Amino acid sequence: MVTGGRGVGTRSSHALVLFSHVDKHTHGEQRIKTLGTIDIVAYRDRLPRFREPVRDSDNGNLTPRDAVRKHAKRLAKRVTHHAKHLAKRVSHHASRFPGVALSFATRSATTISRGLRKLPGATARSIKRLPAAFEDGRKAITASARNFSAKTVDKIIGVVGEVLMTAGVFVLLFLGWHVWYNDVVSGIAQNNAGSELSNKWDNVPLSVPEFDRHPGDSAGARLEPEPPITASAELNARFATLIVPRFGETFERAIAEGVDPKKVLNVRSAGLGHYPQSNDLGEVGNFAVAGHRTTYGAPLGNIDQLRVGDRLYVETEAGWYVYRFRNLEYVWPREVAVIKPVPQSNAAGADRLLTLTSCHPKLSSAERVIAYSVFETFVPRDRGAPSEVAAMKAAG
Amino acid sequence: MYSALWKILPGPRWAKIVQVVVIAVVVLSISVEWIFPWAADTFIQPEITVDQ
Repeated sequence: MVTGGRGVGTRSSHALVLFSHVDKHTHGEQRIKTLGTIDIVAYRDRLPRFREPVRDSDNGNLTPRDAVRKHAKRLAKRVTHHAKHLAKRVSHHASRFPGVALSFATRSATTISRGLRKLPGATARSIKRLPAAFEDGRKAITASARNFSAKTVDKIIGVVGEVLMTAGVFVLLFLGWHVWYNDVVSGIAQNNAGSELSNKWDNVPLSVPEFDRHPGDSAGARLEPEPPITASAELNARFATLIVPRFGETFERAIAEGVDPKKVLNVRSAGLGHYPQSNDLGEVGNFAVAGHRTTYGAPLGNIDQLRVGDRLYVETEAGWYVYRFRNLEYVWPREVAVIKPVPQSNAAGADRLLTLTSCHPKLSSAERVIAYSVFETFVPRDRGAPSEVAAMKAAG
Repeated sequence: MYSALWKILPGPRWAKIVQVVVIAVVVLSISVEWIFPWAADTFIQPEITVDQ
C-alpha cells in the first residue's frame, strides 16, 4: 500500500531522482524505491575537452566547438533514450501506484529540462525532446491510471458478484439440505431410534390370533378392556413409539414428552411429541401427539394417506395400545380444542382417543391437519406383538 | 476472488484441482454437520403444533 511518495526530486544539484515512493508493506516496513536516475553531471563529464580540430567521418575535420556540439547532441539523444526507458518503467508501475506516477509525470518534464540545460552543448531541440519523451510516458501513465480505476471497479464488482453467487449457491444447498437431505437422514435416524427404544422393552414377537382375526373390523376384539395408564414421562424424555403400517414397513418413531421443536420435534432421536396438556396414554380422553409433515424426518408426512380402519400402534414397555383411524379434520393453527378430551367440545367423554396433529398443506404452516383414532384394545407385552407389528419388526 | 484462490494454491494444475475438490468436500461437510443445522434452528422455526 502506498502511503506517501514523491514523483521527482533532486538527489544532488545535478542528479535527478526520477521516481520514488514510500511503499508500506504488511509488516509495517517502509521502503523507498527508486526506479532510476539521470545524472546530468555524469553525462556532462563524458564530454571530451577538444582543443584541436577533430576528424569526422561525415563532415571531415570539425572544429573543437562543432565536435563538442556533436557529442552533446549524441549525449542528449542518449539521455532522451534513457528518459524514455524510465518513463516506460514508470508507466508500468503506474498500474500499481497511479497517483504517485502521475505526480512524477507532471513534474518530471520541467525538472529534466532544467537539468538538461546544464549539459554543455545541449541544443534547444534536444532539450525539447526530453519533455516530449516524458510526455509520452505521462500519456501512458494517465491511460494506465484510467485502466487501473476501471480495473479496480471491475474487480470490486467481480468480487461482489462472486460473493453473491456463492451466497446463492449456499442458500440453495441449505434448502436442499433442509427439505431433502436432513429429512431423509432424520427419518432414518428416527426409525432407528424408535426401533432401539422398542428393542429395550424385551420384545416377544408373537402374534395374537384372536386379535388379528378381525382385520378391518372397527370394533376389534378387546383383550384388555381397561388398558394400563402410562404416566407422563419427564419433559423431553422418550416413553413410547408410534407404529403405523400405513406409513411404511419400517415406520416406528419415538414419542417424547412435550412439543419443544429443538428438543423433541426436530431431533433425530424422537420426532413425535406428546402435548403435555392432553391426557396420558391409556387414560380416558385424548392422547395428542404432534409431528412434522415435512422436513426433520417428516414423521407425519403421510398423515393424509390414512384410511378409515387403519391400525395405529403405540408401543410402551407394558405393551401395545391399538387404535383405529377414524377421520381427518383441517383446522386453523390456534384450534387448541382439537386436543381436548373430546375434541372441539367441553364434554367429558368416555372414549380413549389418539390425536395426531401436523401442518397443512405440506411445506406450509397455514393450517393444521388432525387425524383422530379411537382406542381399540391393549396387547400386553407378555402376549407378544400383534402380527402386523411382528411382521414389521421382522422386516425391519 | 476465486481466481486469486486458484493462484494461491500451490502445485501444478492437477494438484490444484485435487486441492479444490478437498476444500469443497471439507466446506460442504462443515456446512452439513454444523452450519446448516445451526441456521435451521436459528432462522427457521416452523410452527407445527396447535397450541402456538
